[in-house]
Formats: sequence, structure tokens, C-alpha cells
Amino acid sequence: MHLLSRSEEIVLLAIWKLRDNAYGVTIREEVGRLSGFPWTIGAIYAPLHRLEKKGYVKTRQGDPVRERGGRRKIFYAITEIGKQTLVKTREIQDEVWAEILKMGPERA
Amino acid sequence: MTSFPDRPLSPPRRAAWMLDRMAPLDIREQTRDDLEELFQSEAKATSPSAAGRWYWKQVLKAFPHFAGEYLYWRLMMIRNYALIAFRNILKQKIFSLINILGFGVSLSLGLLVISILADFHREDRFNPDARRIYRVISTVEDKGAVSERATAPLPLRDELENLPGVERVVRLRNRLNEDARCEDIIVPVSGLYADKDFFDLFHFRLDKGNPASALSEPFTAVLTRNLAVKLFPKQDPIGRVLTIGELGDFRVTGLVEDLSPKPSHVRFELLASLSTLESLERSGKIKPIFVDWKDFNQSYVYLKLKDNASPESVQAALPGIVQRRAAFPNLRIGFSLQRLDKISPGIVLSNELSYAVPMALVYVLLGIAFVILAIAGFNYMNLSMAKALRRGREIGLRKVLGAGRSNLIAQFIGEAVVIALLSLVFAFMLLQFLKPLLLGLNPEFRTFFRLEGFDLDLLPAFILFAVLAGIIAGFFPALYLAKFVPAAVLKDPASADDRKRFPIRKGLIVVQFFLSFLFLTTTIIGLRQIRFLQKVDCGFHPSGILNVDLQGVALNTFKQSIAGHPGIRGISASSFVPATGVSWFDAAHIEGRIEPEDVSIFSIDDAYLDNLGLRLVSGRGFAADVRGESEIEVLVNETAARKYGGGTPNGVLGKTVTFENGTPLRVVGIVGDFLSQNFNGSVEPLFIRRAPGQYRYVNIKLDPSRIPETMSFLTARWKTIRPGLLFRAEFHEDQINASLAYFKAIFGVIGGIAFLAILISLLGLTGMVVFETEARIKELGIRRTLGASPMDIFLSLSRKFSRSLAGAAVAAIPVAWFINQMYLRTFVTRIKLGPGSLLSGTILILGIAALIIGLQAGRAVRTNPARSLRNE
Repeated sequence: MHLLSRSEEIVLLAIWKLRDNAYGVTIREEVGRLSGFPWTIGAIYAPLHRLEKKGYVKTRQGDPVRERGGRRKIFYAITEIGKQTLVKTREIQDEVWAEILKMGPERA
Repeated sequence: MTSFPDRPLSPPRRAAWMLDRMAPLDIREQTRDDLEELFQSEAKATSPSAAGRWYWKQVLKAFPHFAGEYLYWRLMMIRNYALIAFRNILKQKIFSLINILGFGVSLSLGLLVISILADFHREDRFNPDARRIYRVISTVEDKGAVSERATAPLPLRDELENLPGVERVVRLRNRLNEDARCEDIIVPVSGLYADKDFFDLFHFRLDKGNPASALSEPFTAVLTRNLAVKLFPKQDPIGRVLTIGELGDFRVTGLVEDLSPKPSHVRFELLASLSTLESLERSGKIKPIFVDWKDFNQSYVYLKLKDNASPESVQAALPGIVQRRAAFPNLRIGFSLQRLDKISPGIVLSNELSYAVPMALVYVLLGIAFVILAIAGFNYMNLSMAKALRRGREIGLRKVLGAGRSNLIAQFIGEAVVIALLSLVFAFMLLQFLKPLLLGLNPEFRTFFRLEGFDLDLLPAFILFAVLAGIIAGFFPALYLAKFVPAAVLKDPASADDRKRFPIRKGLIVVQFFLSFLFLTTTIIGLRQIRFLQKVDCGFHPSGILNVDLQGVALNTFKQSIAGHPGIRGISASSFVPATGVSWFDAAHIEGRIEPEDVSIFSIDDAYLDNLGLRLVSGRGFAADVRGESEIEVLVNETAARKYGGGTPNGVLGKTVTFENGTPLRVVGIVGDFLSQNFNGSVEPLFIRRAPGQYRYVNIKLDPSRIPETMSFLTARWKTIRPGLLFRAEFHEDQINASLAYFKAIFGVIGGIAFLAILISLLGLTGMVVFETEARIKELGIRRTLGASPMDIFLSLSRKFSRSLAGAAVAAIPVAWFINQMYLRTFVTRIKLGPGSLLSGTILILGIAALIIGLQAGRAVRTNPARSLRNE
């Protein structure tokens, strides 16, 4: 199991949170809200592409939509491995955080 | 006007097109559609034009993300191919080893060629102004004979300096090869005369002295560090005085840095100011050269263009200069510019300053590297196609699992590249041995290339070369392997082995061995010819003859001073040393001929014929003349006698011959033909004179038992006569051998190539035989149990290869005969091309091939048939 890069992690978290409604536009919105600044579409899709190739997300086609020139939305959903990876990533982070906090004040 | 309020706006067309191009295929649609959706809401919130700008920005910003993504997956793919390649290499150790060794050997040769070419390419490139420095070269058409020369007349400088685009002109003059001495130290030097701005054009640094003024005054000289150490071992050379030959005393005004890191066609140990020659010209010691437009054989004119000047404008002004200053009847001169970095390697010019590597040599080297690479590539192709049988299942399975043709091709090429890169490691080590080996073949090689250092700067070129070699070698097997039909190979792996439909492999073996036979035969014949020439009867006896260079010392003075020494058996004098490639010509009026003819001449004294053991065929030798100073008679060789005798050779006796500026001489004797000039060419008509003015060498026949004693006696005597000049003496046999050094070097190189070609071919054969034995081990086992003898097994195994090898031999022998016959014809005396010379190399290789097959047959015989047959 690979560790996730930060952008992959955030995108994956957003997909998990959005449940059935995760596609490019909503993911971008959610990621922007989480991080506090807008992401370009390329910054979303590069990690998304990688996540899909690694098997952390899967896709599903939605209904055709007028705003998209009559084409279908492609929805993303997190897979079981995706969830495990997120949990693993979090565990590592928690562990490191706990150790840092245990160390007490920094000595110069 | 109808409007469609409902119809959505479309995003900027070009931006959409760009996005389509760069998004990875599997997310292309969603990227496009999501962005369009966002674009629509953006347009509603702001304005269509603002939305368009926003869209553009999104697309442009996406580029680095997608580019990174592309590279990421590319690298992953390459990593995967490399991984698979490594696994396959480890799985098939013998084949991999054979491939790596064979590939490595040929790559090392390629690396050697790259190193040599890199050395060629470094010539003069260190000069930061190399692209605006030009040399003026001349085309001279004299009575219809056109020659291109690296030289140009000295007065050209003043004309060039007046041209608007020219910043600086510097002239050089050669033939400053004299002995330099300081007190009792004498060192022969090769130098150049140079204009005072020399250091402005040629970027050699002065360790000591002022570059701007070092060469301005007459009789000043700049030394290289090497020479300075020899001449002034202890003192600082600056300001000291050294005597150069008969020219006079020179003050040392500068010390040049070590020149070895700056390879240049301008090579010198010493630079003397060109104004020295002006001073000598004024005092009448040399003929006028500074105004002589016909003096275009010894001077070199270089110019530096102004920063923004075009060479074309200068080039265009050159014909005008010729018209104004250098227009002569019967002699047409043309000047043109040659850029500094195009001199070497470049076109071949006469009067080259030092050496310029001919462009043809570069191509020849590239050709050699290509041939060797082809042989190694053949090997790789051959073996991997043979392996195909084993890999049939793997390939079939990959195809079934969805690997496309291009994936498979990429994988197999990847394997070849990994093999090539592993070979590169081996090749690089081999290269470090090859370099001294090549330089050792001929000391003169060092003037063309140095091959110093560890070539780390060439490493990128080496790697590129190896990768290219891998791609080329892997290409055909990849195409072949990718063609397999999965269903067929999975059902019956043997169907992959479509040997009958794929005749190239057999062809490859034939080509490899053809080249091996050809090179080895040529090497054997060449070495035989060299050995033959070393022992050949030159028509005289050079053994024990020591040739002393007179260097202007009067013959009689030297003769008298050494006469009577018991170690000396004979003394004579000659104008040059025969059979060493030197020849002299003069125009002669021969009785019975209307036009004067250019003939070979050779000057000797009375004692020469006896001393060297030359044979008189007819007539007599020179009449004894006590003073030996009046020239009234001439001898000819047999060839001249036949040519000028008018029917009978003896008819030449009594005829008169008059050389340019001479009195008529009477032919009194005919000397048996001997090798006067060179091993190449044929024996030319030769006129043997007794012209004391032309004597250059004293030929001393030494008593072989007292050579060391006599040598020290001669050296001591020379010192008393000419303390300022080195004693220069060489044995005649050594001189003849030295003139053969070029042939030896050439055949050394050909022999090296032969060795590599044979090695690679035999490695390939080994691989093929090992494979064949493995594939047929069951069949051979059955044959054994049914009573086949070891000999039968051997014959059965070798049948497949013997026809290819025999074919290669049958093709190679006539070609070898033809090529060798062609160059042997250029020798005066040559070996006969008998079956021994033509067949021995081929038989040797065939013997080794039989041995390889025999070893494998032995292995097959020793394998217990019960074991090989059991697992089915």
C-alpha cells in the first residue's frame, strides 16, 4: 500500500465526504472549501487520474446534463482500498502528532 | 434576427482544443465536461467574456499538472520494462552473458571511435573566437595542375588589413626546425615564425612575458615550458639568449603554458618573431619573401573578423586582391577562407601547418564502428530469435492478457537496452585497455589523438550510443516476437520456431562469419607481407650500415676525423637513405630526347657501390677522382637503361645527360635495380650522380662485434667538429623498419578488428549451438538409445551450422583474394597469395567452431537419455 500525497489525500477525502455526488465540479468546490483557496481543474484531475489508476477510486456514469453540452457526468466513488489507505495515512499522522506533542517544549 | 436565449455559450474553441490535447486519455471527457459546466456557471455569474478568460486560465494552469502526470506514468512504464528485462536476463544466464560480452566488446570499439572523434573535435575549439578566426588558403593552378594549399603569400596581410571587416591579421611561417643551443645544451626544436599579434588570435596563455610585445622585436623567441626545461634546466629562461641553428642568437621573451590541454593544429615548441625574417631579408641573408606574391608554400595567413562582420564580405574582396596584386601569366591563384574550427578534421590541403585530420578518416572510423556494431547487433538478434521458442508461452500469455503489439515491442527493445547498458559497463573497462593498445601501435598516432583521461565528459555520449545500439539490436527481434499468434504458441510452443519462414537468422551467421574470415585473412596476409618486406632483398645490403646526418658538415672533414678506426669497415656518402620513402627529382636533358624529363636522382660517392654491395650490371663505376669534386659521369639503374637505351639496355652507355644548371654527364655504367625509394610503387628509372653538393649522409659500415665502442668514438669525434650540433645517426635497417611502421599500424588495427569480429561471431555461434543442443536434447537422447555414436551426434548437431559456415567461407575467400591482391599490387616486391595465406585463417576459425560444436555434442552425449526423456 502506498502512502498518499497531500493533494491525493484531500481529493480522496472530498470524494468520500461527497458520497454519491462526487464529480469534477463538486470535488473542486469541496476541496476549495476545505483548503480555503480555489483549485484549478488541472490540480484536481492530475491526482484524480492517479487515484483511479492506483485503484483508490472508481467511476460511474450519471445522466446527461444540459450544462455539459448534453453529456453525462462522470461520478467518482471511493473504493475499499481507498478507504483503508486513508485510514492508514491518518494513523501514521496521528502517531507522529502524538509523539511530537509528547516531546514537550522545544529546547533551543 | 432570431436568437436562441436557451442555447448555452460554448467555451473558447482554442482553449478547449488545447485541453483536449493535453489531458490524459482516461480523464479527458470528464475534465472537458466539468470545466464546461463550471464555465457556464461562471458565465452566468459574470459575463461571457470574463468566463472565457477564466476558462483560458484554467486550461493554461492545468498544463504543468498534466505534464507531470504524463512523465510520472512514463517513468513507471520504463521502470516496469526494466524490471521485466532484468528478470529475463537473470533467468537466462548463459544467453545474457554471451550477449553482454559480445555487445560489450563491440561497444568498447564504438567507445574508442567516439573518444577518437571527440579528440578530433577538440582541435582548436578551445579558442573562444574559433568561429570568427579564418585561415586564408590558396588554390594554385600551375600549368594545368591545380593544388589546394593551406599556405598563402606573406604580402597578403597588408591587403587584408585594409578590408573593413577584418580586425587582425597574423602570419606564421614554417620550417624553423633547427638545433637550439644554450652553452653546452643542444636540443632539436620545431618552431614557427609568428607575427607579434599571435597571442591575440590564438588563445595560448603566457606564463611569463608580455603577450602583446613578446614577439614584436627581431631575434626574440617564446618557448614552451617543455623546451625551456630542457634548455635552461635551472635558470629562469626569460631574458636569456639561445642560438638557433645558423640563424643567430635569440632573446627569450616569453614562456607559453603547457599546451597539452589545448589541442590545436598550430603546434610548436618555439615561436620566433616574424620580424626576424624581415631583418634577415634586409641584410640579404635570405631571399626577399615579404613582397613575393609567388611565395605561397611556407607562410600561413590567419585573420580575425570584427564581431559583427560577415566572412562573405571578406571572401568577396579576395578575387580583387588577386587581380590587383597576384595576377601572373600561366599561374592562376585563388584565395578562400577556412574557419579555424573547420581546419581539422577538414579537407586535405597540401602544405598543412602540422596535421589536419582528413574528413575521410572520420567517415572511415564511423564505418568501422558501424560494422562492428552491426556484427554485435546480428548476434543479439540471432540469439533472441533463437530464444523465441522458449518465450513463446510468455508472449502468448501476455497477448491474451491484453498486451498490445506496441507494448511487447517496447518490452523487448527495453530488454535489449538493458543488455546494452550492462555491456556498457564492461565496454568502458575494456576501453581503458584498448586506448594504450592503439596508441602503442604507432607513436605517430599521438599527433592525431591523445585518448587521455577517463572520458567521464564523454559518458553521456557513451550512454546514448549504448541505448541507440540497444534499440537497433532489439528492434527486429521485437517485431518478430510481437508477431506471434497467441492461440498457436500457447497450444504448441514449437510453432514459434518458424525457422523455415525466417531465413534472416541463417543469413546473419553467414554475414558474421564472412566478415570474420575476411578480416582474419587480410590480417594474416598483411603481417606476412610486412615480415616479408623486413627480410626482402632491397638489391643492397643495409645490415651494419650506420647513416650519419651530415647537417652541413663538410664530408671530407668528417671522413678524415674518423678514418682509420678499427671498428669501421667502410665509409661512403649519399644524398638520401634508399628504401625509406625519400626521393629526389631533377629535370634532365637526355641525349636522344627532345624534351627535358623529370627523373629520379640519387647522389653517391665512389665508395658507395662497394660499401652497400650494389651490383654493377654493365660498364664501370665512377672513375677514381682524387678530389672527387668534378662531376663528369653518371650511372643509371637497369630500368633507366631499358627506358633510355633505345632497344638494348647497353645502348644507354655513352649517352650524355644534362641536369638543370649542370654540365653534360656521360653514362658509364648500369647498376642492378635496387629499392631506391619505397616499398610502394614500382622501381623507377634512376640516375645515380656523383654530386658532392648533394651529399647529406655518411654511410659507415661498422664491424658488428665492436659497435658500442665505435659509436662512442663517432659521437666524441662529432663533438670536436661541431659542438653546436647533435650527432644524428641511425642504422639503415632501423630506418627501413621505421618506414614500414605505417603498414604495421594499419595491420595492427585490422588485426584488432579481426580479433573482435571473430570473438563476437564465435560467441554468437556458442549461443546458437547451446540453444540447439538444449532444444534437441530429447531427440538426441533417443538417437543415443537407438545406437547413434558420438560422431553421429556431432554431425547431427553441426549439420545446421556447417552449411552456413561453408557458405561464408566460400564467399569470403574470393573477396579476400581480390582485396588483398589489390593492395599488394602497390608493393614493389610482394608475397604470392597461395592457398596457405588464403585458407589458414578460415581453417583456424572453422576449427574453433567445430570445437565449440564438439563440446556441446559431448554434453549431449554425456546426458543420460533416461533423464532427459523422463519429464514428458
